[in-house]
Amino acid sequence: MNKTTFGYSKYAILLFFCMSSLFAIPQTKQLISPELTTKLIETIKDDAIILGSGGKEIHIFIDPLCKMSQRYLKLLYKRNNAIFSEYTVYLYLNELKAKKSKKHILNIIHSESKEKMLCDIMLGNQSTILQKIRNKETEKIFQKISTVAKRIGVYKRPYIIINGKAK
Amino acid sequence: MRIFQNNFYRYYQFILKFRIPIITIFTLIFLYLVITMTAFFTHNDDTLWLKGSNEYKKLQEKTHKQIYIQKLQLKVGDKPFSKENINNLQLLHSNFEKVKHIEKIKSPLTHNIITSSDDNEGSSLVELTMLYGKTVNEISTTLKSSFKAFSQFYSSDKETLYVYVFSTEPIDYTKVYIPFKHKIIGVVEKENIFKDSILFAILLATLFVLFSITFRSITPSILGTIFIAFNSLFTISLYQFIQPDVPVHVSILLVAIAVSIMDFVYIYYGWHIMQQAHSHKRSIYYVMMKTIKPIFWTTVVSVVGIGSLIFHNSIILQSIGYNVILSSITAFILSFSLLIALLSFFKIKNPYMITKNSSRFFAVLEAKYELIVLKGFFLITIFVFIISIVFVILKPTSMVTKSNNKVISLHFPSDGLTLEALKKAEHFHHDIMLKFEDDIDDIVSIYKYAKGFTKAYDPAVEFKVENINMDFILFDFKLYGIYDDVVKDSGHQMSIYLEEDGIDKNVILQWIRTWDKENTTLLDDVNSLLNSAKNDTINHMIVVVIFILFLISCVIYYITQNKVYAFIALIINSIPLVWFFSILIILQLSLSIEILVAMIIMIALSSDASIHFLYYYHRNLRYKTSDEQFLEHSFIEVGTPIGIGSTILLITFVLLVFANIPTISSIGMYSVLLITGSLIADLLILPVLFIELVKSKTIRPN
Repeated sequence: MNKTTFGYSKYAILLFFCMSSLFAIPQTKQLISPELTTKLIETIKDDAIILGSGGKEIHIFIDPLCKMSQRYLKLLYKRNNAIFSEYTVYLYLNELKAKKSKKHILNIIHSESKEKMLCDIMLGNQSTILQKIRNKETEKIFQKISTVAKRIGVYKRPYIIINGKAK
Repeated sequence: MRIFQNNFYRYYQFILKFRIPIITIFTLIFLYLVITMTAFFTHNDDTLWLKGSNEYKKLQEKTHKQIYIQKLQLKVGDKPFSKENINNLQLLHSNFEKVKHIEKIKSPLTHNIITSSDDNEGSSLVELTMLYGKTVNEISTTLKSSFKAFSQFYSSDKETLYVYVFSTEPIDYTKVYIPFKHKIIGVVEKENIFKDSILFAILLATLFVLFSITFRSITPSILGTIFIAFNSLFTISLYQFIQPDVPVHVSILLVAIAVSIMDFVYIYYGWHIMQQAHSHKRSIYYVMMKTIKPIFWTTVVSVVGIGSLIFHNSIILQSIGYNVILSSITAFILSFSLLIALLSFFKIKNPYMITKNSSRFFAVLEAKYELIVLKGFFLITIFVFIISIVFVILKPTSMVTKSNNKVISLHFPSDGLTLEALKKAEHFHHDIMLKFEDDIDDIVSIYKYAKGFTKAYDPAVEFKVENINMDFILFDFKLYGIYDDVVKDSGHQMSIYLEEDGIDKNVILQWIRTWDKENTTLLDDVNSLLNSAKNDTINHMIVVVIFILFLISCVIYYITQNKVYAFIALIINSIPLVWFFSILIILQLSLSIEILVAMIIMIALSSDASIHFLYYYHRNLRYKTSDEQFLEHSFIEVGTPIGIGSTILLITFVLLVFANIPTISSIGMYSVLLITGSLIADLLILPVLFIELVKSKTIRPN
């Protein structure tokens, strides 16, 4: 009896998923309000890689192995005169599961010269030699950024936030 | 002898008495002016058109600088996306990048396209891409596969590639290697004092030879050359004194020469033939008496009529006005002082009369005119006139159509990239596309990019300017380097690229100028500014032409106290103008300084001829004289100097057509056309019309 009930419920769950995918609403860009986003961002600002020193802040979640993030970073450096004098760019390293980039991110966070390491991995032609990082502090930063990203609803890379609002 | 007991005779005696001091004073002034002459003639009328134009004034008030846009038409053959063509396009870019003052180049390589990429693994990006910097193969493949996005740069048969060059100063494209067969519109003509001096010398030499041939004597050649050189130099010097900051256009020289030739020919010819019956000194007095009144009134018509151009804002019209006033007054003063003094030193033995036989021939021919031919001619002229008027009313801007530079650049003053600025741009986009959708290829503006980015981020969401996130737009504009392209001097720029075979650019320009009720939108590309400036002068020019016709008629009525004479003057002067306008419209020729100068020369000549002819007819009308005799005498006394003066000018202008200076060649060509028309009207139609309307109706006293 139990076996039969389980059998039906299995199909019912499958049907539910199929139906829910049919009526799926478009992916929400931002799960929380801009005010809360700004507050959360403040908690991870110290862990960001900072480019430029302009009056306006821009926060970008990137994955070092994401091609689009790499293109975006390249563009930022290409237009550095126009951008870095007017904006302060905060780069947050946030892994995309498909890219399996945790090792790269930990290496960058752990590095003494984060920006150089970031550029080596994302913009360099040669593959960078990576170390196995077992530092708790580094892992903590990685997790902290991931948690904030999840709460905000960071669903793609690069994910850009200005004044608490996501693109 | 009452004829010798008047102030005029005393004036004649005064000139003769002091002829050496008079000649010395004028010569010294002439030499001083030659030595101190600093005027360089400009061949480029663009600057003159722009100065004083309303749109240009608006631009200057906002301290916004004008830009130059050159549309290059490059022949790419039947394989437009071949490696060779792409390589050449890249080479063209690199050649232009080295040229100072070039700000940007708009071509398939620099054409911005907003794209959205997604790898379905969480990476996605909206970006602005261009082909510049990509490999030849990539470029060629993209152009082939996404031709629609680049179609605005190619002609419909894909054999011509359009490239737009934006610069802060005019560029000499002859100095840039363009690796295509190409066509460039409106290349700037360079000033060349050597070329101008040679031209002036050839002009004087031609006049010298023509005077010798006409009168079989070297005397008129010497006197004519001196008179024309003095009048031209005095006119230009006086103009420089009055308007020191305005460059002298080379065509002004031709106006001065044309005015002085006619005055000289009337006086010299009269004096020349008068010596068949009188002494050379008595002939001077007689010719003075005969010519002073018509020359005075032709000077009045030129000074008041054409001179009224000085009241227009346009510097180019002002300069023509001032120069006609100065050359007419100077020619009048020199005619009755220097020329008289010079003539007193010369004597012609057996004066040769060039038109002795031809005057009779034409007189016989015209006296036996067919009324039906005359009526037919006038009917055709009226028909042509009506057609021209209808065409001008239906398509008023066709008069200023010129360039193939089918691009318009606009500047909208704003506080930078704001929501308000975007709303205004959206409003403009909506209105212009509603009206000219089929005639516009592309509009590059803040609105285009803002809409492009917003729609790329959220394709499913309906686009509304109010919902645009300005922070992101501003950042994207800076990141992709388009901010400086579309935002300038706190305002925003808009470039409108027009369809090659679309509606006349001037129609769109006029629409833009009336669209902005607040009158804050600025045209900032030189080509569009020039088109607007020319367009603004059309009405004024038409008013001036009508005013001159009215003035000539008034002068004739004042002299003759007869309405029919005034009517004849009006008709005769209108005929060449009507035909000329219809030719302009049929051939779709654009209004330029060359055409205006040619028209002014023609009006001056035509009014001269009508006043001289009708003044003669009025004074010599005798009912007893046969039509043939009457016409023969009028041709000998008046028709001949008109014919000689016009023919000499005609030959001179024909020579100018072959001068390797485009402005001069154009003036030459238009003047030849107009002077021929004017000569036909004056020598063939005026006498016949006079016989028909006046002489045949003269009542014999019982």
